[in-house]
Amino acid sequence: MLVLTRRIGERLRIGADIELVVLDVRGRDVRLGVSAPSDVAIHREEIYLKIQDNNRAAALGQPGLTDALARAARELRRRQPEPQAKDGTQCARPSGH
Amino acid sequence: MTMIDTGLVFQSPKLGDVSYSTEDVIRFPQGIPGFEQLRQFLLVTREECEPFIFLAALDRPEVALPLMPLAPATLGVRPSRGALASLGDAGDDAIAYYAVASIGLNAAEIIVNLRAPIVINLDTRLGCQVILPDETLPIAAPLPA
Repeated sequence: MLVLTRRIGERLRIGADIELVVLDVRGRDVRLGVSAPSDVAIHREEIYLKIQDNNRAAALGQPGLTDALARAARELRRRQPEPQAKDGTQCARPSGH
Repeated sequence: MTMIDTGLVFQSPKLGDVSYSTEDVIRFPQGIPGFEQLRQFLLVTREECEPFIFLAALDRPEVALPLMPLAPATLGVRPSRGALASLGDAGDDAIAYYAVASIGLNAAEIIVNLRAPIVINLDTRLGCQVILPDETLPIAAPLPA
């Protein structure tokens, strides 16, 4: 890992178009500003890790998931025959296979 | 299930045998969080689970994410144009949004991830999972009542 010391107001460039600036340091908190192209995703790491965990749990089959889905599906169909059409917007439905 | 001429069959331990053709494959150029190496997926329906559908990984058949379709109007925040740039050009009609569904702490209850929708361009067959910038959106929301 590259380790650099910067002062408040000083910047880092990552490649041609990503800029990192140290805005403020208070005790153990560091405020950073990041400028990057809009197609570069920037998140707090904790969020990414939570979404990873959530995806893994959902994808690898929690015990009882299929049953719970079928129950929830029946409930959704019962309540909302056209579930995505509340405001007239039709949800794109991929065709089944 | 009807066989298609091109005759490809995806054997899923959870969803059974699924016939598909190459045009059905959806590519996720960056993978998805937790499965960053997986690129090719199929959307698979199961009658008893509709409107939920499954995003099944062709290269790892045990991986299938249950998804709930989201109407664009119900999204708290739309992903930015930049966040969707990797999906290619599309009219709004071609962009489909889904929330990943899983089981909550209360074992019988389904929860959906509204913070990070799966977004698929049905024209280009490209997809991604977008983490929305609104930190108030829940990762584990109960199904809308």
